[in-house]
Amino acid sequence: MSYERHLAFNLRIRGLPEDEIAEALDEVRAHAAATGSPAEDEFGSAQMYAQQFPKRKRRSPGYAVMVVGAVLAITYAAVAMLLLPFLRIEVRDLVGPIRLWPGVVLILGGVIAGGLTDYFRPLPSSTAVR
Amino acid sequence: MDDADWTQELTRAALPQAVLAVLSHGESHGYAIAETLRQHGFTRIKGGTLYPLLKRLEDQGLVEHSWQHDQAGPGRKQFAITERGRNTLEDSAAAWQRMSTTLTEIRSTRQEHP
Repeated sequence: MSYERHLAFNLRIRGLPEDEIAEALDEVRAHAAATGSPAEDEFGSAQMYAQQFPKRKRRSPGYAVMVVGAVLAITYAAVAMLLLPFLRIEVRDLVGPIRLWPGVVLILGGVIAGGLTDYFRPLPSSTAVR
Repeated sequence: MDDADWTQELTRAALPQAVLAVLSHGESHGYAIAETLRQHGFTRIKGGTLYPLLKRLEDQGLVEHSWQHDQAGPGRKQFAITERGRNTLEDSAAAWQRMSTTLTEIRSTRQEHP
């Protein structure tokens, strides 16, 4: 299961759609069952095997989460800079001496949440017609 | 380049033609293709090499697949050669033969150096 999850994660990062990921997982499952060998022995590491698939322009859901984090960070930075001249509110009084740390937290939070979204997203169900 | 390198290089070059040749005798699944190749003297082809190649052949319209299910266990992806694949196999076999002939000629003909 862990190999499949790693592979699905790496294929999502490469922009593959879920149906193609499901098919790749089906192949790995079937081949490993036929050979009786662990998938990693047959296909190499999930990261290396994923690199055999051409990269797509499509973005994963995790990427969308990262973008949201980045947009929130930029919005925060803009608001933080405009509060003082327009509303006479000093952001440092609210967040401490380093004014932009919440923005950094939003970016890092977006990156982590995006990675977790792609990694822990349920594996796509088999595409094989039964 | 040592022996292992030569074998690897030749295997890489010959593999698409070899896979098409196996499929020209009837449809087969990945593991069976690898086993047939091994029985004919190829080094054991791992899944990480075979499936990306089959995908490339499929993208080129030379191979097609269907899923088959037995009683238990995961389904098997059966691959079959297409008409275009058969034509390509003929062309590549002829090209391979020409290359082999050329190499033989080079080896057996004394070259006059200017």
